[in-house]
Amino acid sequence: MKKWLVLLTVAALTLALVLLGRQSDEEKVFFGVNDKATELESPSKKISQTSAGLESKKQTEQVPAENSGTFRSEDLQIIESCLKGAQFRPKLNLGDRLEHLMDQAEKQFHWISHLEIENLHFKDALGKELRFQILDIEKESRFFDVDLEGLPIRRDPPEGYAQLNPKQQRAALIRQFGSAIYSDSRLRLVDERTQESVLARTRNGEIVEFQMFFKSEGPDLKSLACGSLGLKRVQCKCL
Amino acid sequence: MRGSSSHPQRKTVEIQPIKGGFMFKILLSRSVFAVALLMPFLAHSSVWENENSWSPQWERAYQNWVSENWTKDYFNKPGPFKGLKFDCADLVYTMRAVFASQNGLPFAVNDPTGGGRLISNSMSRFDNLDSNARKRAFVKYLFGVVSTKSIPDDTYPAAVNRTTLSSGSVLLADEKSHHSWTVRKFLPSGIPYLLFRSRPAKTEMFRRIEYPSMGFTFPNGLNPERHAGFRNFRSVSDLTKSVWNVSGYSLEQYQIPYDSWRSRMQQKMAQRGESAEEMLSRLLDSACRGSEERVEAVQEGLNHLKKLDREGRLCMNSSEYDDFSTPSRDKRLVGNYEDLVRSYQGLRAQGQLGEGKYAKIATGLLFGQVSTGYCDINVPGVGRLNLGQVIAAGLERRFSGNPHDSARARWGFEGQGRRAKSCPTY
Repeated sequence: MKKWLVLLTVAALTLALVLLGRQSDEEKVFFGVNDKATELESPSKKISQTSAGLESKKQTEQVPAENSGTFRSEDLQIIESCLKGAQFRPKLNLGDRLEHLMDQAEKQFHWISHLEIENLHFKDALGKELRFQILDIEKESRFFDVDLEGLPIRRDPPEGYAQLNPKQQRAALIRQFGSAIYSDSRLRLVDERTQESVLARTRNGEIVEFQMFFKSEGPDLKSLACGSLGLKRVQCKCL
Repeated sequence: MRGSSSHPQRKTVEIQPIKGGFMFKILLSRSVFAVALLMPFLAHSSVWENENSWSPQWERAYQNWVSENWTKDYFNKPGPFKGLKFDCADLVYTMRAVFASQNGLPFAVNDPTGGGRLISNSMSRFDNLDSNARKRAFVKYLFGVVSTKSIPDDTYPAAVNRTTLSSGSVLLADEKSHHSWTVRKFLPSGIPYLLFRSRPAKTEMFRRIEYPSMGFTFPNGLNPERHAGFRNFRSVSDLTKSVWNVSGYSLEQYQIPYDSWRSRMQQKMAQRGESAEEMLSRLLDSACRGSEERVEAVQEGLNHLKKLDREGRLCMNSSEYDDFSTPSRDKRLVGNYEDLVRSYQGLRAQGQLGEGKYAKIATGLLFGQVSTGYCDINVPGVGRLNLGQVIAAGLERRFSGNPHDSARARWGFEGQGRRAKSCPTY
């Protein structure tokens, strides 16, 4: 059960729907318009797998993140030796991507998952970029324009934002913005029985960073980390 | 996307003797003249120039500067940053930015809005301002962009010893608690001297000499994926890397058992032991200061409530509620009280309490709830309370963090009021 993928896919699909200017059920769910619990609405709630999410996977074409890549033989060796004695035994092949590692982790544990979407970027009809930063989905969001250096300029929330019900605000706001061009999120998985955990980061729905914390032989905490941030390809490290 | 340099590379132009015909020389000289005329408009001013680069020597200078100069009233002193109002995360970043600006060192953070660039002192947005105003504008700009959520991307968890953790380090609480502290120094006893600020943003810092409670710092357990714990600033070149690729990254803090984390951290950071009197003095001081600061925070909420009355409004909006409610502060404060009680009981059980000044004060406050002359507190709307009475209310979970409540309800001397019941909480 690829819960994380379902969630990411729902997010990506929603972005696509915003792009098309449609207001579907998925969009409503994603931005918390209706009463269904969602991760954006409440990041601490357990991810639930929905049929809408599964269907959406087929429809969504994900944009590969910059610098993303595949595992090479040395990465697979690092993963194998790092996980000696650990519960986690992923089956990976040359050329697999970080998503495969995540899939395997997801299959082998009983996770409680938390997905937090952190940033959404939009472009309006005139090509002007707007950024929506979510600090606390219930309490605090920030809005930014972008300057000539590509750096954020804080802007006021849309008029009436503070007075509206947060759920309505978010939905109305997002629909006003225009085409979605970027999203990033943080995904945490915790197995409450073993206390093993995973922290992953995504860009445009694709995993760019994966770090698992676990105990193998002995009491020491170990970590397997794989990612492509700031690198030209995926790199793995055993810590 | 990511990886763009935070420092513009200066291009050097080699001047060659002009060759060619007369007309060419005139054309060229006119071009040079035109460029010269346009120079003021084309010039790019960094917020401050990078005259030095970070090195182990500069890191030590940074630590010494924080230890000696980073005081509660730092922002009341003359200089470009005087009077700035900040919250907890703003303060963390400002500590590093102020030192960098004073010494011509690079300062950069990841753009937390997902832009993929670095926000650094090389930005040109404040070109039109003079040098000091540029620095001030830059730091104020940071306040609108950074948060406790961005701290993990600009720092890394460090190993636990007096070389790796020091003045200028940062303590970050779990996201659930939304809080961070700056480390002014570690005392010889291994206890951190923390300076921080809470909301609403203000110019004065608060001081705490302790390891904050585990329940507040690590409400989701001692799990590295939550990022809570002691952290150091990343070098500029490490900002775009995954945290596990940052030099100095360590999981040591997370190897320590949860139940003994604070005492083990203290042992690891200590140069000598802490006597019973030192411990009680420190814990009483924390309880006293925290209680006095709560008086100020509660009063600000009550004043805001009066403002609402004048405006004919009944309830605060979510932003106001966030600024004037005190659930996190109350949790931290009750954690201080629990530490005091636990340590007192531990010392007594081990026969180490002694009959010193602070042992007597603690006994009077915790058992008699009588005034010992130590830290009596004037609470507007309630009266004069001794610290023992305040501690008892806190330990009995009678404090109300709801800013719609009256002073007496906020301090646990009456139940929740009608206004608090009818207004939404956020």
